[in-house]
This record gives sequence, structure tokens and C-alpha cells, in this order.
Amino acid sequence: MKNVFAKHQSTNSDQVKSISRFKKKLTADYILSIVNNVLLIVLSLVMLYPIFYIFISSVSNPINFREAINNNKFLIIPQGFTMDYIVDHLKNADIWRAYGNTLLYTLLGTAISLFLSITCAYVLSRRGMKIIKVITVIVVLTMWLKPGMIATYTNIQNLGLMGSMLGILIPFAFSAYNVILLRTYFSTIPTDIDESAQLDGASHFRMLTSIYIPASIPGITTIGLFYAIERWNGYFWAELVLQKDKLYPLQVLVKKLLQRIGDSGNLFEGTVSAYALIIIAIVPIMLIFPFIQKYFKKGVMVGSVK
Amino acid sequence: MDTEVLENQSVVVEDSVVTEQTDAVEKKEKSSKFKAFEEKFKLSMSEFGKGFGRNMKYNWQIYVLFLPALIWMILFVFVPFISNVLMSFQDYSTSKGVFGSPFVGFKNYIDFFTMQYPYSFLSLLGNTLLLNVLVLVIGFPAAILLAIMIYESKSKVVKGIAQTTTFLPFFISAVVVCNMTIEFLKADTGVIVNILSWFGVPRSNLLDNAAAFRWIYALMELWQTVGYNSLIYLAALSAIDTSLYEAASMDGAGKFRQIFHVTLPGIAPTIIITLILKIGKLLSMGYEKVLLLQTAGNKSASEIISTYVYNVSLAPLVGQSNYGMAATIGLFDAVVAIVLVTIVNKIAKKVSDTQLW
Repeated sequence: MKNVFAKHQSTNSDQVKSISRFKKKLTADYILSIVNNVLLIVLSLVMLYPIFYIFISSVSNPINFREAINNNKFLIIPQGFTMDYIVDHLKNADIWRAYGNTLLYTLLGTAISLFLSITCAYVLSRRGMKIIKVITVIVVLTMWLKPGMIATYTNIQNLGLMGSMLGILIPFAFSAYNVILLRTYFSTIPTDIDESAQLDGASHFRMLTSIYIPASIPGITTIGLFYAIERWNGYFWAELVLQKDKLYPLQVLVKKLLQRIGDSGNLFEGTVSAYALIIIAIVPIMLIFPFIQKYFKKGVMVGSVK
Repeated sequence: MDTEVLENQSVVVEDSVVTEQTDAVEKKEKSSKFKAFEEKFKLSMSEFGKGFGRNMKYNWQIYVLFLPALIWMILFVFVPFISNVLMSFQDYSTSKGVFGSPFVGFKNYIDFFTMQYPYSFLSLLGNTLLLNVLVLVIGFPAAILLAIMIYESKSKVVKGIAQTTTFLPFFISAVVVCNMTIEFLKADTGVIVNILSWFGVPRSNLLDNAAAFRWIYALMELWQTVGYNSLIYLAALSAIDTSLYEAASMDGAGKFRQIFHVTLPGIAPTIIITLILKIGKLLSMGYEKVLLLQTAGNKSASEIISTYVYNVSLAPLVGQSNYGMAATIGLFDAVVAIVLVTIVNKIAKKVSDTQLW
């Protein structure tokens, strides 16, 4: 702050000097910000290239594709054009069934998760009851006392949930992290509303359904999306627990199909076919992505405040 | 007017059993109508003391609301954790279950720490640590750098593009990301192999190369998570007081010095907390992606503690599954994670003012 006053009190030549110094800094900063923007654009292109590459390869003709690769070309357009491989996969009834499974598991799983999370978050956000502290400790404890892979597996076995979709829907439904996130959303509702509702004789059930849920739709959507993405992309336990081909979600099917394609001898055809399958697997996510992006950003920001 | 409203109120109380929902808006309106009444009530309410909870009549509902989550936690966290502990002391077999399998004391633990074939404990530990440390060293500064770059950018278009493209890979499933990587690294058809051949690197299946495995994994993780990881720092950056920047530029600091003296100190608490959390996870590596990328060729580098658990128990391998050992390792994982985070937290407490708890 000293310098500001010094600038004003300085002589004419000093003023000229400081203004030109200021101008120089201005252009230096300006150059820096241009470089920054350019770097960001370049980075974005690099990040995007793998997906872009898969897109163009999935509709390429394997013969032209092989030529291009053997000549070490850098691909930016499809080599020859054929939708055959994509259509082939789309004709596969297994894929549609697997997609249906994924959709079902995602919806049901998210519903169960939200039910558990909303009720628990409501309880955690209650003020004025000492027992809440104990409950909070119990919930946080579940973040650390995770049973190992094998204990989880035998537990699901012992509960008789193996081989049924309940075996993946229920055991992985609750995430203490998401619940705490939701609790943060719930605690932003001012206590006055609580008190006046209680004065009017509202029960906790009534408060939850009439006040808290409607007021926290953004928060609920955010953690709902967190849960949904995990469900949609999950494959490990689905493969382990479901054990029946017709129950498998898309990711497991993709894994098995890609393995089969990889094992078959035909190199470049296999590659194009694999890329076509990958495209089919990621298109829905990419279509939804722009709409749900902001929810995740918000969720991360609220989570960081905690 | 007052008596009418009071009558309405008593009706509402009796109606609480009916499922008709009263508008939240209506409630707020009603309560704003008699503020004086509220004031009196509040005074007498506060006499109850905070420890009792204000609405004692309905407190039992809190317990009912907690019941679903509690049952879930008992069934799927606490019970399996206890059986995990028990199993680690047993020669467990599925047919005999927890209560029928023979007790073997610490045999599983000793076996785990002293085994030599096919992997020694130290090699598993080393692989896990090296992999995690590399991911951290590459990914952690990158996320911060990306956040700063996005934050400093003055163009909304560039910001939007950068955020979208870096965030997108996060939503792609592990299966797809790993198979993309596998395809890209295939000797004859892979695009990365192709690009490398411009620089004279001979074509080979890079994934079978144990030495390259860690870098491949770390870079793949970077691609998938750098956008997501940068979000937290972006949030912290937007919380920095902009007048600090103005003061700094008044004092003659250029962009670089501003970043060092304003930005970085401003997000230092966030950096420390995320670092603590990540170090706490140093030994409990996610196994899904490593398993998908594992091949016979890279196993010496890619067999980490958690993949070993899978391979020794659940994988459809020939030979005996050692469930007891797997349980031991799982327990080891959980305990080490807790210990690590506590230690790092204590260190952070001493070194700076920031801590997790």
C-alpha cells in the first residue's frame, strides 16, 4: 500500500517510469494469459483425442485402417467408412438385455441408496439431541472399518444374496461420504423453520417429507448422480455376485466380449470391432454428461467445504 | 383472529396422523403471523435445555428414521468386519463357515509376511507403494496446476472447453478405459505404439512390459481423474479473496509472484487435507483397473496387495483358495489405512495449522 501513495507523490519523470513499468507488466501478464489459454486448448485436444480416435476407428474399414497404421499415419478422419461393426454389435440381443439390466440396476440401486441416505442424513442433521453425536460416530466408523474383499463375498453368500440382483443392489447401497454430504445440505435449512414447524405440531416424518426433501432437491440430485454413476460403471461385484449371463449389466458383458474379440486371431478387424463396442458402451454417458456436469461440480464444492 | 388461528393449530395437531401434507409455505406464513406468540414460546422452550431435544413427543421417529441405515450398517459393515477378523485366524473353508473352520492362530499372518513364492510380502508392498506414489506424484500436482490454469483463464469459452474435456473421462467406466488402454498399446494396431514408432521406438506390446506398467497406469489414471481432482482446488481458488490479488499487484507483483504469494497459500489448507486423505489411501489401492490391465508379462510389477487377495481367493485358479489369508490381508489393509491417516494427520497438525480432525 505504501507504493500507491509513493506513486502519487512522485515527480513527473518517476510517474512516467512507473506508468511504463505498469504497462510492461500489463503486456507481460497479457502474454501469459494468452499462453495459458493456448495451453488449455491444446490440453483439451489431447485429452479428447483418445475418445475421438475411437470414434473414427470404430467406423473405419479394417483394410484401410491397417494400411494407415502400417504407414504410421496420425489419424484424424475415418479410414474408409463402414457402419458394419457397430451394426453387428447392435444386432446382438445380449447387448440390449445387458443395457436393460444396467438401467434397472441403476434405477433400483439409486432408489435404495437414496432412501437409506436421506433418512440417515436427516437424522444426522438434527440439532439438540445428544444421541446424534453417537450416531455420527457410528456412521463415520463405516468409512474406515471396511471389510475386505473376501469378507464381503462370504457375507453376501451367507445372507443368501448370491446369484440375485439384490446381491449387488443392497450390499453396496450406502456410502457414508455421500450421506455426510447430504447432511451438509440439510443443515443449511435454518433452524427457524424447524422450530416453527415443530410449533405447528409437525412430526419428524412430516418435516422430512414436506420441508427437507423439497428444499434439498439439488443436493439429493447430486448424490443421486454420484450413486447412479457408480452403479452404471460398476462391473467387479456384478460379475462376482450375479454369476448368470442373463443378469449381467453392460460393463460385464463388454468385458467378456472384448476378451473374446481379443482372443480371436483377426487383428485389425478385431480392433475395429472392439472400438465399435466401446462406442456403444460410452455413447449414453457422453450424451447425458453435459447435463449432469454441474451437479458433480456443486457436489465436490460442497464436499470440500465440509 | 387469534382464537381462530389457535383453533386451526389444534386441528393441525390432531391431523398429524392423516397423510395430507400441509404446505411448507403455509407453515411459514402461519408462523410469521404470530411472532409474539413465538417469542414467548421460544423462551419457555429454551428452558428445556438443548440436551432434551425440543419436540420430545416425536423424538421416537428419529430412531425409526435411523433404523434402515443402522440395519444396513450392521449387516454389511460391522458383521462382515468382525467375521473378517475371525477369518484371519482360521483356515477358512466355505463349507464349514466361520463357526466351523479350524482355528490356526496367527498362522495366516506369519504366512503372509514370510511368504516367498510366487510373491514375497515385500514385493507386493513395494509394488503397491510404488504404483500409488507414482500416481500421486504425477496426478496430484497436475490437478492443482490444471485448477490454477483454468481459474486464471479469462475466457469463458476456454474455461468451459477445458473443464468439460478434462472432466469427461471420469465418467467412462473402468472396463472401457482399461480396454482402451489395452488396445492403444497393442503391438500392431495400437495408436500409442504407432506414435512412439515415429520416435524410433520399436513396436511391441507395451502392456507386457513390467517396467512400463507403472507409467502406463499412472498416465491412464491421470487422464481419467485430473479433471475431477481439479474441482476441489477450483472451489478453493474461488474462495480466495480477490482484494488480495489487487493488493499484490499494487505492490508490483507480476502474475507469477502473485501465484506464489497469494494463490498457493490461499489453497494450502485444501492441498494439505487432500494430501492427507490420499496418503491415507496409499496402501489400499483400487484393484479393479489393475486387474483389468494385468497380464502374465507385467505381473511382477502389477501384482499389488489387493490383486493378490483376489488372485489367491476368488479368481478361478487351479489349486486351493486361501480364504483365511485373504481375510488377513484385507484386515491388514484396513488397519494400515487408519494408522497412516492418523500419523499423517498428526504430522500435518504439527507442521501447519491444518488438520483433518
